[in-house]
This record gives sequence, structure tokens and C-alpha cells, in this order.
Amino acid sequence: MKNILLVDDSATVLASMRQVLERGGYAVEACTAPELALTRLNGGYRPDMVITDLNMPGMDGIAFITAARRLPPCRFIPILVLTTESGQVQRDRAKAAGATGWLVKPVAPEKLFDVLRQVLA
Amino acid sequence: MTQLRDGPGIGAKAAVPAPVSAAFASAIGDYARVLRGQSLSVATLCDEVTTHWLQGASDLLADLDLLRADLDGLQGEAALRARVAAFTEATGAGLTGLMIEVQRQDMVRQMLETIARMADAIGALDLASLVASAEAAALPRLIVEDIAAGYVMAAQRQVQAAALHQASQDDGPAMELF
Repeated sequence: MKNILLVDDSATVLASMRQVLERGGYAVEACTAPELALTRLNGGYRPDMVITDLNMPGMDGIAFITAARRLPPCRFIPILVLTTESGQVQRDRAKAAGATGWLVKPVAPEKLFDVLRQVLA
Repeated sequence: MTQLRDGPGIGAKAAVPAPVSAAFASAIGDYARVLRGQSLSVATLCDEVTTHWLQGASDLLADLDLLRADLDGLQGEAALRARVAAFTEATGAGLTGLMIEVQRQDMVRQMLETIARMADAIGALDLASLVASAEAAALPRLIVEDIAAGYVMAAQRQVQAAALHQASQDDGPAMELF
């Protein structure tokens, strides 16, 4: 079973995404703040993929991706941005920080699973 | 948030009678507080409804899983079993699809919080300062510009662009792998 680390400051989004992903056959670790996710990664947790929100209080998604990519074991873990943003400037920033892909909320389950299969193949 | 009272050239007191200025401040303050309160109340209601709905949908999905498991242990009546299995499969997929709609609720919450911040800025408008010069009178525009600078989603920019008859800059694909 593939492990996915979810990072989003919204508890309701985390709960719904966890349900959807677990029903899709994925194991999910959910963090309400990027700082908590970094603590988990620093502690040795190695997900097969990370899905992170972009706009969060404190550390934002771009800073989180940058910090995660500095951890040698996380250098090649796919990191998807799941966000309400769709502007090109933010996409370019995420790409430069090391993001693997960009999904605009709301994303339908079947489309989400298509992307996950594609990235995790 | 921009401090409107600190704008350039608005330090001098304008010729606004004190009672008028006070009445304006009182009314605009009430307006802002009501707007803020209403917005945040709706945001809270959205959150509560979504939490309850999410729990209900989750419980239903768990029940469907149990039903599916029970179905596997039943003997005979293959046609009925197949029909119930198809039903649980379709209903489970439907509920899962609806769960993702929570993302839209979260967008509503964030937009309402933005409206509340705009209400705060409007509530800080000071009539005496605003009438001090044409430049100062244009300062309320900063409220819109400041709020726009803090937008966290494409939907907000699209709504504003439409309202102000501007072109939207958010036309990227919904999914992109780099």
C-alpha cells in the first residue's frame, strides 16, 4: 500500500481527502501544518508521495516544498500541490521549489487517482 | 492592511463638522461590525454543516462496507447479490465523490474571511481624513487593492476581475505535471 502525506491547514479538507484516498487504497498521514509535516519527515517518515496545500498560515506550501527538498531522503519523493490557486506565477514558484505537479481544487476523485497512478507508476 | 489614516497629504483636518464626522464613523463602524459578524457566522455555519455532513457520509460508507462484507458471506440468490453489490459500489463511489466537495466549502470559508477583513478596513474609514484632498478621497481604493493582494484563490480574483471589468489572469490548467 502506498503512503501519502497530506498537508493542509483545513481540518475538513484533510478529513475528506483522507476518506477519499483511503477508499482508493492509499495509507494517509495527515498534518494540519507544514511544520508538523517536516517534523514527521525529519523523524524518518518516508511517504511515497506528498500532497500539500499552498496557502497556509505560517509556513506556506512553497517554503514547505523547499524545506522538504533539502532533506536528502525527500529529494525525489513526488510532491503535488493541491490548491485553490491557478495563477502561473505561483505555479512557476512551486515548480522552481521542486513540486512535481499542480492540482486545482476541487479535484474529482477519479481525476485525482489518475494523477496519483501516473506519478507513482 | 493599509492604514488609511496614514496616507500622504491627509494629516490636516478637513472642514467636516464634528457631528457629521462622528455620525459617519458610528454608522460605518456599525456597518463593518455587522458585515464582519455575519460573514464569520456564515463561515462557522459552513464549517459545522460540513463537519456533520462529512461524518454522516463517512458513517454511510462504513455501513456500505459492512453490507458488502455481509453480502460476500451469503449463499444463493446470485442475481440479488449482484444487484446489491452493484448498488453498494455505485453508492460508495457517489458518496466518495461528494466528499471531495468539501473542498468547495473550504473555498467559501476563505472567501467569507476575506469579506470580514474588507469589512474591518471599511470600518476604519475616517471621513475627516477622506475629504482632506482628492488624493485622500481615493485612498479607499487601497482597501480593494490590499484585499486583492491577499487573495488566496483563483475564484476570488475571477470574481473581482468580473466586478471591475478586468481580465482574469487565472487561466492555467486544473492539472499539470511538471
